[in-house]
Amino acid sequence: MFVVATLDDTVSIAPHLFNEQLSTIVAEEIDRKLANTIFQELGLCICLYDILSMGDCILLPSDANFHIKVKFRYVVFRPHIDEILVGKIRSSSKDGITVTLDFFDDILIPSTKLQHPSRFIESEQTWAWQYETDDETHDLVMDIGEEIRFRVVQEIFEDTAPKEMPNNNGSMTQTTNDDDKKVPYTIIGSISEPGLGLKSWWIETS
Amino acid sequence: MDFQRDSIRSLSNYETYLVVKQIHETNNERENGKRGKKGQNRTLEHCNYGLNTVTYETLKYLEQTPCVEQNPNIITQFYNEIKKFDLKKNEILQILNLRPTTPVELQLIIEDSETRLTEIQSNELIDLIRTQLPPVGGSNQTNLPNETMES
Repeated sequence: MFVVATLDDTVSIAPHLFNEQLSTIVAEEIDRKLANTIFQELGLCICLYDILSMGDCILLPSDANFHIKVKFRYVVFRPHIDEILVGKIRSSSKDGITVTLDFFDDILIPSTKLQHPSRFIESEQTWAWQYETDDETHDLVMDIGEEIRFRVVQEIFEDTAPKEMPNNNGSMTQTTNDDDKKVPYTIIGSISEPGLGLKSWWIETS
Repeated sequence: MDFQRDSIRSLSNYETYLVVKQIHETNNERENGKRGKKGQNRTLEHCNYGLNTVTYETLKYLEQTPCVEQNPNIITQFYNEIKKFDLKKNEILQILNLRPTTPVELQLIIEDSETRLTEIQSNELIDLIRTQLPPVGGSNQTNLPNETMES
């Protein structure tokens, strides 16, 4: 579920930090920039793994900061497709179930990818798997907070960078509203296989 | 900023756990050390909310997974023993991360498991996982003395 990726960047260091050790300051600057952000097409950045190399410190005219090229490895959350993950149910709605991994919340299991047949209990706002035995059907309810095992089937990256604003004010507010709804990185999960779904469903009673 | 697409390598939950835990610990140390020292401005400046949040939450998540009980010895030994099943690297990684103990869990992780593993083999594999990889919270008793010694 986690990977390390090699990245390049130019880090700029402000003068009041010059007395600190270079590698510490560079590491801090990189973490400040990346930690807890979604890097497009890469995933959720967690923390610096190590610094591979640093170039020369460059001073530019009329700029007190110095700039340094850094090549480093970063720990990133990026489950591969078909990977099995375990999370907790965050919420349920008619559209499906959202799952949280504590540090990452944008996981959706759409209603079409639940165990078949499943039904949505309107009064309790939860999904239930209608498990059939020989003579009757049982509702296996999926409550909020339960541990759930799912398969990653799709990942969606969406660029949330602000777009060029049109001149008149009216449409400007509209674009910001649209941006609020956008999620930069969504994982689509599935539980429509034996072994998937609530962990408690599949515990062997032997 | 750019990343090299071919540079992406998988990291096991255990490795991630080590990195995140270390960052979390140095953060705490630094905070304790700075309190009362020359003014709070520096602390504020160095406080990286993004990093603190994400490492804290990742640590919280990983502490509930089997990786907390693992160590390099367990992993190399398990890796050597599991070689004979001819599994893909990804599959071994997921076995380490998830520690499946039932046939139904195993069959999710291993693609085409019916054709690649016989029933005897898959039972053998589960036995191996059960004996070689410690369960979550399984070695709590052995961990406790260490903690008390440190404190």
